[in-house]
Amino acid sequence: MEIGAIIVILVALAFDFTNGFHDAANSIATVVSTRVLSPRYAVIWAAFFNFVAFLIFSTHVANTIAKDVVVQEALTVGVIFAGLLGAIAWNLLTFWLGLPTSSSHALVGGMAGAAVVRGGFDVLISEGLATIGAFIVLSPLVGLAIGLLLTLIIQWVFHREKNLPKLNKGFRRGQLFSAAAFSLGHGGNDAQKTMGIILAVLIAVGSLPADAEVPLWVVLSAHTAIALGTLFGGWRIVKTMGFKLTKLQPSGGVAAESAAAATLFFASAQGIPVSTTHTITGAIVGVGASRRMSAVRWRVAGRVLWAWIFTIPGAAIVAGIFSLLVEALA
Amino acid sequence: MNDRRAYFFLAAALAVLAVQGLVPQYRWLTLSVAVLYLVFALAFATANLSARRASIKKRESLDRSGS
Repeated sequence: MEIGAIIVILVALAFDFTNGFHDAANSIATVVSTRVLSPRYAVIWAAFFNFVAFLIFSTHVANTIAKDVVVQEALTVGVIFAGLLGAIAWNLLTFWLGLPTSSSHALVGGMAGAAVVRGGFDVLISEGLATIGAFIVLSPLVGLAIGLLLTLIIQWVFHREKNLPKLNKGFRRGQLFSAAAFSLGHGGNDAQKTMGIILAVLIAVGSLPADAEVPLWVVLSAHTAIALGTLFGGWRIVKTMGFKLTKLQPSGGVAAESAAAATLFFASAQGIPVSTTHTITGAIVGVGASRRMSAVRWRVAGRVLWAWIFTIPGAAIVAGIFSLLVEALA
Repeated sequence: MNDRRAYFFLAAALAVLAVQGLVPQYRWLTLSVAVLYLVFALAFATANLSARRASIKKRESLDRSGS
């Protein structure tokens, strides 16, 4: 395999590591805040379920990234590298600006932008991009709807329960399972984006045929990278999504994580790359909205809306610039 | 209808319907979520109206007993 391809694969795995590092807080926020687990054990719990997700989900999302965004003839190693660099640069820029953008959408925008600069708009697969674009809006809204529905069901079922400490204890235990389910969904959907990049590289250099499925070593390395990222980074991120958006009780934590997990399971089964951060954000807003509108910190939710609008075009422009640079240097 | 949640869920339903055309294969999903949001919007709007009506009745009965 050529050295360029190996570099791109290593950069893709590093991207996956940072994804785990950054997003771990989403899955451990509520279990840590309600003291079900210490931060250290919560991170190990999340990392374990990030890793074992490969046993549950097939590789539909990876195939979408590799085959349904840009036509394969246009996906050279240089284009994939520029797309990846564009996504990383966009993530760093928005991290600096404090915008909660999605690395998944940055990756899709990056690949599209890098390819368009080389081959024009004809290289884009409109059907694949339309599905991904629609689910930028749908995944948080589906998470929100399920989050609110679960909260209302929980309130309705337990509204006569007088022994609140006992009830909270039960929901704290339930959070172990809901956090595990969310970590499974996170590992399943996000690790596959890296697998998609690696699959595209392997097809581009001729190591695999165009209709190849994701090899096992790619699956294992992507899940290892995201799990290690979660393990190393999760406990450092103290400011959790749960508290940024709304104050969650144990029952709210269970509802939010279960709603987000259900949305991620559906998206992964359908091969749709979605933002895990935006999905849990929608679910948390749904739980908060069951109380009153002022329970939700709308400024944070509004910043997610800006992230929806700007990520794909923004990452595409940055990756387009990188694509020109890579072409000039090659 | 001055419970802001009613407006929020109405806007959410419209957002879901707006992207429906992009994913015709998931029409069942988009329509279910949009209907759910409309039910939420209606529920919050009517719950608020009932609460206001009850509060007006209570005030009127207090006024009558006062006079």
